[in-house]
Amino acid sequence: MLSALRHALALSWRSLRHEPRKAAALTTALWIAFSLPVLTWLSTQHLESSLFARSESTPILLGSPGNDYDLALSSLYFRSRPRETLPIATLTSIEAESPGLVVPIYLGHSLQGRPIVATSRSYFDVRGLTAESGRLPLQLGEIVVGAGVARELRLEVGDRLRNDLTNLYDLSGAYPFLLEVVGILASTRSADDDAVFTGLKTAWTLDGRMHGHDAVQPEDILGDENGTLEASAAIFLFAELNAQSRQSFHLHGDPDAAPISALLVFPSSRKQHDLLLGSIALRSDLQAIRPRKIVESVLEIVLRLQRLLGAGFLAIAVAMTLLVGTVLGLTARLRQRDLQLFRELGASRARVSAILGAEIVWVCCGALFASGATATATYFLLHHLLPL
Amino acid sequence: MRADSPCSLSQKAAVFLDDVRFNYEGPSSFELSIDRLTVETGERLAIQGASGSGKSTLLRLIAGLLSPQNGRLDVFGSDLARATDTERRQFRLHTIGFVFQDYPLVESLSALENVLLPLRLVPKATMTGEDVDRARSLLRRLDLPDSYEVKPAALSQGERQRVAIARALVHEAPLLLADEPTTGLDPQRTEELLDLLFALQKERGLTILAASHDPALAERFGKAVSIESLSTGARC
Repeated sequence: MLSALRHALALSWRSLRHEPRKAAALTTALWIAFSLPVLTWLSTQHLESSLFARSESTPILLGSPGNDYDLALSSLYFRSRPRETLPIATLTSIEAESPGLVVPIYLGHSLQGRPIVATSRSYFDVRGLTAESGRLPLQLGEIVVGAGVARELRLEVGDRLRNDLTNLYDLSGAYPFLLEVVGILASTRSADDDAVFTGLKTAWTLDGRMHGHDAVQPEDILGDENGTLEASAAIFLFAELNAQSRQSFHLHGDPDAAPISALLVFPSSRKQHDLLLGSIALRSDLQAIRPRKIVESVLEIVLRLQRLLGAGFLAIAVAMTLLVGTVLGLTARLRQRDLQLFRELGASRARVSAILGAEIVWVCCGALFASGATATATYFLLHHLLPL
Repeated sequence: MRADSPCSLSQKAAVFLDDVRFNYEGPSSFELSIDRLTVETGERLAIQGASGSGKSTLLRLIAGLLSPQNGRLDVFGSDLARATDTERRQFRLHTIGFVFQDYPLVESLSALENVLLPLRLVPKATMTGEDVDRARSLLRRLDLPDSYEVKPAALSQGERQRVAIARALVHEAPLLLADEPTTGLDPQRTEELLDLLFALQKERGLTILAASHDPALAERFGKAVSIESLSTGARC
């Protein structure tokens, strides 16, 4: 039995090698039919686990009332900037109201196309971010870059570069500042890998809310309107944050009104969690979202799409199987004389069928091997190389 | 050429046909009727006849590829007229070497692999180095020493023919049936092939039945019978 199988496999292997193009076409057709559903499933699983991992690690997200999807995607994945901001005073009030950890996020600036995320040191702790080289930002004008940004822009600790101009046509807007890379984060294969982190005051400086200049002499003051000084344009404004200029930077306007985009809230207990949600529900200036719920609803759309694709893939698989069946049927007809010869020499119908069937086995094995290799490569790519 | 009587019956009969009737069913009906034919073990016999006279059908009946509707058909003691498909197939694998008229070879296999093909098709097939050596030896004797790994597409018509003959001989079956074995061969190659077959007949005690329309082949066989004479109604 085993030797018969071995001979059937050997004969069918010779036949496939005799027509390599046909063998390659059949294997490719089956490989596509096998791989598409597997790759889609792997990608969806990866997307699902990555999205859930990040959303589950953030119990409550606070932001301005508006689109909750927008708030979640911008604050968790830095995909966009929330249109509305909160005053920084909200941070103090929430900290006073709810025991636990409250982490501010301020988005809006970018550096060579990568989002600049202004936050507090606590953010690095809650996300488990550590500096692979250098240190975390401490002072005004310092930035730390995600592993992906460092790799793509070939940045090293000590490099200095300017943030992107927010609006080219706003002549009164703030000019880009020269920022110093003080650290490069270890990769976490998350959205943090593709972001640039800095302190809130640095972001407000990029806004133009904080500035630094030469000491103002009495003759530089041109006017005083309700405490707002009008100074001479001759005063030199610093466009670079360094050891010398850093001390002169200061915030103009109400310090409590300085903007932030969102607050990540980590209540100390389930009770505090529920109390905070209840309290925020009564406020019209603030909305609280539970990121997991948002991600679940986003994933529901993805899963529906996956089901739809699954039906499509089933149709593709059926079409490919029919195609392979047709090609093998035609092959059998073309090899009619060979098969007749096998019979004439004394082979049983079962043996002839085994020889033909072995061709299908070889093609399926090739396609399965290729599909396995593709799935393994995709899994490796998804879990080790590509951040979400 | 002397056509010996094929009607003698003895205990050594390799092939014995008595009152065999075979009808081809289908649009072109054909009936073959053999009153009696006996071929002794180790004997060689040429069956002559015009195209379409039933020579190939007779060989296919003896090989168990066709089953007669009537009569007795014994080959080496096996009653093929009453054997099942499986019995006839197994009988064919072990007892018959068949050189088919169109010399079919499997194009995906090398010449050597084509020669070894019957050994791969045997149930519980085990191909030994000895089998391979025998196949190589046959190819050498058929003057095809360089064709072991060559695919049939690269072989000439004569070479294909000799590979097909080697395949019929490789499993050392006691009965060789050859349907027009020398068609397409030049006289020198024909002589060489027949010399080889006759040598093997002596060495192995091989029984050879060849169907041919070529009188020269019948003459070289020394013993021949026309297909028409087998169905004259004369009984031995």
